[in-house]
Amino acid sequence: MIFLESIRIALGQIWVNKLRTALTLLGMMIGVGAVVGIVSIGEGMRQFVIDEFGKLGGAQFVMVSPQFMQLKDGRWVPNPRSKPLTMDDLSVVEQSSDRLAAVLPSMSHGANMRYRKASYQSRAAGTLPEFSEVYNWQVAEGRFLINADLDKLRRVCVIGKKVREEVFGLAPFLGRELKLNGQRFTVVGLMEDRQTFGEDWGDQVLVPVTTAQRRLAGNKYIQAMVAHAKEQEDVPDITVAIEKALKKRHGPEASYQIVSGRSILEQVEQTILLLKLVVGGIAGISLLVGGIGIMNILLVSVAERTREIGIRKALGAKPVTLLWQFVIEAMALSLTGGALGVAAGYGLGEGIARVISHYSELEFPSIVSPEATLFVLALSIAIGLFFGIYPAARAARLDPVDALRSE
Amino acid sequence: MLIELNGISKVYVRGTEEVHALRSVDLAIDDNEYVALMGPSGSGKSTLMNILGCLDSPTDGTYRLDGTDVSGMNANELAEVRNSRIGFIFQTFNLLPRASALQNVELPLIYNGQRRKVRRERAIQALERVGLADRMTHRPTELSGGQCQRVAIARALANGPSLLLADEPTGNLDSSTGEEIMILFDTLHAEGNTVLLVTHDPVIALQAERMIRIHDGRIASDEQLA
Repeated sequence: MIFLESIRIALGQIWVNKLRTALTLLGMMIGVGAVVGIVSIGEGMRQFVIDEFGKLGGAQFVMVSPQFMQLKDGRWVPNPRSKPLTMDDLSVVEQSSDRLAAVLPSMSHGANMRYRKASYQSRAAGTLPEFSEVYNWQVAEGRFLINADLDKLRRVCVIGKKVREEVFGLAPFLGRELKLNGQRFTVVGLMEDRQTFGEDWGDQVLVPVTTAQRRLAGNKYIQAMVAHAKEQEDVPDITVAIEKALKKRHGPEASYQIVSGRSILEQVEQTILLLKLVVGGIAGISLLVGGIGIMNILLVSVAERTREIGIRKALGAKPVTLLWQFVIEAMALSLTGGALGVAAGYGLGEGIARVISHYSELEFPSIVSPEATLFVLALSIAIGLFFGIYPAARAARLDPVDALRSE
Repeated sequence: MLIELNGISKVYVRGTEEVHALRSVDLAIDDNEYVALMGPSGSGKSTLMNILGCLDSPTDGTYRLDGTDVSGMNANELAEVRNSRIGFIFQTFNLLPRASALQNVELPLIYNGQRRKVRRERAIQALERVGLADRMTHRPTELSGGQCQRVAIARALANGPSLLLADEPTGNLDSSTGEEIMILFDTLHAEGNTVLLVTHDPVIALQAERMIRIHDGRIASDEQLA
């Protein structure tokens, strides 16, 4: 009963001193708001990276490429021990671990595309039939590459949306002959729309890797290969297994660059953790400053309301009742500041995310988790409790006779 | 016996000096008495009133209120006694300026832990008793001095106290309003309340049935009037 009354009195006080309350809470609000905003951007960044990796088949990929250059005495120089990768290497890597879902070649070749009078300069990628499934990138029309295409070195291609627009426009394309660097390729399919990290996948044509080697590159090499693990936890083991298999084949000196999606994700996570720590420090300082502000305003309030406190004591308010009244007032203040800060932070994060999305044309989210919100609000209440105790105790200890006598 | 003071002393330390505000005061007041307490400023009159009102504790001696020894009570126990046994009426009314008449009268009922409904009923009854049934939603700033004092009296009556303690209740009122308030005290006394009136005005004091004069921390005289 008295508790409810205390809440009512506290809210009444906050309402009566609106300007003073607003100014007191401004610091806390800005602090909490900045923190919530920045954390929401950090979370958004993490989610963005995870989502984009998801489109790439998850972060469980390991990319293997020859190390053509190496850092020597602070300069990049050609690496004499580097060896280009072939499809045989790919088979070796495929055999290196039973926890691999697929190993895809990465082979991209500049290509001039012609159909009748239209011409488009872009790239052709040599790949395998598994490509579509691994990257969860489906054909919109026609079919994808099949094993027979590879075995027979067929001159077929699957085109991206952009290629279709640039070369065929609205004209029919299935079964038509597209000239790639002067060679005729039959269009068998069209891929659906796809973008990751803001990059359009639709500006390429996909051809069987074997055909690409023979007809476009004129050699038997692939530029790199991407191994996909079944589970993300297997990535470190797989990385070791791949390196071992390649060294066994090419000798211990052979050096390859092996990068996993997991290591990239770990870097992002680490960056975000650092960001959170720094921001958490700022949050701590701003809450401390906010708490001191609340303590200050409460001391003023107690001094101003000494007579009121005296009246309440004369009418039978116990010290503990008055203690609670002022502590609740402090908690109501700090909770209000925290809540306004969360709201401001949400707005800030959302605004920054929109600006980034607008200028980068990426789908960049801002994420404020319910846990983070509750944590901030609980922390705000705790701040109020901590900084409210001293002024409240002063009010509770006031001598009723002295308090009644004050003006 | 409602009030029994035995050897009550109060010593303040002001700087290095000891001030003897009360020197071994013995006093007994019965139920339904109407007592005026008089004395010049510095006589110890206010100190005695504060002790009788349980706002202050004596340095020495015992104070029995309604048979309970309150002289050794702690702050929480004294608050309870003030809440349920004592009704204060001040010279400056001491109403909360931002609360309505009704909310002001409800205050002692809140600290008594009464439910909202009971609170409201009793506060309305108290305001009706002092003739302010039509001013319940008004704030003190919207009321005249006499009306403010009536609100304060209603507040003092709210918990049905044993003792009404009025400190210069007409000090801030013009004489005709003051008379109205004194008539109200007469009525409350006639209804069975015990009234202790602290004043320096002999005319006001003569309205009581018994007059006690304080001088230099001692009871100088104690006489029945009329």
